[in-house]
Amino acid sequence: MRINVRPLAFRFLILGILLIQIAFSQPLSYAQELTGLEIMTRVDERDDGDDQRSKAIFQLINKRGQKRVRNTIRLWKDYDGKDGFDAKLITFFESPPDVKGTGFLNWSYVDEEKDDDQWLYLPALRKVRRIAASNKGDSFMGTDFTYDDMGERKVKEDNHTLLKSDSLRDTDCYVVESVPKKTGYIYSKKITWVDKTNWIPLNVDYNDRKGRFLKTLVMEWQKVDGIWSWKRAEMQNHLTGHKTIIEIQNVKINTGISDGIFKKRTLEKGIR
Amino acid sequence: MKKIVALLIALAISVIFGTVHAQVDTSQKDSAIFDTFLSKIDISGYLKNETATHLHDPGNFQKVKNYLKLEVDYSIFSNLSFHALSWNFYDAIYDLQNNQSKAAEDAYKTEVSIREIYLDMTLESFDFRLGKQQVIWGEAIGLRITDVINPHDFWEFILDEFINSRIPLWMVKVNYYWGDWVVEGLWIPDFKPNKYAVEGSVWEFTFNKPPVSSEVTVIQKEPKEPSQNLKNSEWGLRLSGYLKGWDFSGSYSYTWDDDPTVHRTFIPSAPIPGPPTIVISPEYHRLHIFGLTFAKPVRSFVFRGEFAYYLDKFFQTRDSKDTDSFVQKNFLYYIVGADYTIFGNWFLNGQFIQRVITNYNSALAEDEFLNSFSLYLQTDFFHETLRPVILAIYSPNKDEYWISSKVEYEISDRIKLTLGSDIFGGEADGFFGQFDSKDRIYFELKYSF
Repeated sequence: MRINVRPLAFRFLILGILLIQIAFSQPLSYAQELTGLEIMTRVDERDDGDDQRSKAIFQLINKRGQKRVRNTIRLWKDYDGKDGFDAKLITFFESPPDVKGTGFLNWSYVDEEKDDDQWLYLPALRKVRRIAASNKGDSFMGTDFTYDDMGERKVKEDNHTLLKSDSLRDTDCYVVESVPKKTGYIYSKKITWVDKTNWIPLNVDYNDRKGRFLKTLVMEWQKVDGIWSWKRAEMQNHLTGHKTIIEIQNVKINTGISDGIFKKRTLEKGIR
Repeated sequence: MKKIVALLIALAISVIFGTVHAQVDTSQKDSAIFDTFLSKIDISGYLKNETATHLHDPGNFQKVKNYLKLEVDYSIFSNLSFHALSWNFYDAIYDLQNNQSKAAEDAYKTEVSIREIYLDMTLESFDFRLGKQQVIWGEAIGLRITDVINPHDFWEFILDEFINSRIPLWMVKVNYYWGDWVVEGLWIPDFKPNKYAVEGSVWEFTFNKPPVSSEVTVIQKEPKEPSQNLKNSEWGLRLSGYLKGWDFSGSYSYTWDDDPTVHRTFIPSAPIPGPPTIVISPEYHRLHIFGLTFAKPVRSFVFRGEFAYYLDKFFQTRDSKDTDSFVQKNFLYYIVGADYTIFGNWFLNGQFIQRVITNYNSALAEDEFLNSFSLYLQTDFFHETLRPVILAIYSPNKDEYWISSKVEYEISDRIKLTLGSDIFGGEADGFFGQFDSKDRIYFELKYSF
């Protein structure tokens, strides 16, 4: 999820090495050169901008087809290690009316041993409350997504194996299996279809810790200012029949969101 | 002073509506301007029914209350906005049953009011809020420790949400932001005392009423409230912020005690024929309150503390030689506790609460140490549609407790059903124990818009 801003000289060096590699390499397919780890690292390090502002519409649909809708506004900024921060995020509920104005602020750190700092603003209490850092395997706002599913899991927490190349929705993909290094994680296995050209995941299958086929994530992407961003993500839970659809709208990237946005003051006052 | 604040607000509102009027005139030619006005106004609220009945006498209802809460937010400019909250209700219990007093009916049957009305101005490092408002400080769950700015309406004891039971005050609030720190200043020219449930209503306080002897004549005077002037204003200052993973705040309030001290003057019978007379003269006194709060997460825990130190509070004595029967003491009121989150959505909070009277005198009517424990548990099922909540508070001093439990069910995005109960127990002269016979069950149906 991080962008590495490297010195110009270093970029030229990398470019030079790449040119030499192209000139002297054997005509092997790219897939043969890449490991599962390298593929997932490229997915993780894909440019996602310095900051993003977007609207996310969550549809929670139970197996009887009953739908609940949550509209949120999300602002995110990449700190890339500045002052020890990895990124800051602030999210607000715009609806339903009962939770309108609820805000969530998260500061994450480069130091992986350091827990995120998190605050929650509840309009019913009109109070910002410090909360414990969420477990990455917890449900994200009652949806079928976990915090990890939303992109917070670190690549090095899993062993990645390239299974094969495949075509999915007319797109050439790598199919990568990811198995957690530590036992006890909510998933025993994940299989990801990665677009070979754009390094974006298109589908993910999840097996629960008992090995049962648990969930499928189907993702659609949009390119905004040259950067790939989620357009729609549908997570289907095969065991409960419940599913969550997230539609992302009004994506604005690299608009220079001020550091002052990611404060408790904004939680209390909201974003207009 | 209260009038000055009200005048400022009125002036601001006239500017707002002047602007609006001007915009509407123009909109006859260009409806886009009117659309802009509509896009700047936000109306929200809820319709709610709250019905409660005595647990041990289900046919004897406590309330059948129907609310309309209406909130209006209008963004005048990007840095100036207006907020008003209208609070309206009708309690059908007084038309359905005759189980409460006339005073209760007069006080609690209907209300149509503007509960909050204020202007917000935002500058780069400052926020200003002018008007009738609530100020919410503190970390505790279910209790108000440093949350001392607004008085409390005890019409329903402490069962209603604090956001509904704090009494809003006219004031000026200024916040100055510096990095991760905020300095908050309050000027409150508006004094209002705590409001207690009226005589003959369900939640009338009985535990602290002084005994009245038939051998004396009692002359009860009305409480003498401080007059509204600059000298009598209340002031508040708070510094809050974030440092190395800790949330801190420190506060000071120069305020009035929201409860009157019930001074007594004893007039012997001689030389006037007849029984001796006691003149009861309730009077409000100044208080200094210092506050301190912290919150620090450690893995799945969040440790919290909230301390309030009161200077010069009047306490009642049992000393028969002390004719006024009040002495001034300092006291510390605090909670320490922790949140614990497990299995992702099981939230548990435990608190130890203590009030300590310093320089204690054994003649005081109240205990030197008043201890309480609280436990709060909340979770949810079915993707947050079903949410059980339990809050229990126990105080060993009077062996008293309050157990509040409820289950909320989200029927749809806008409609929520709540079933709950409040159980009290303990000695009759205790804060919770006095309502031992008032255990209740209730249901609420709420439509939000």
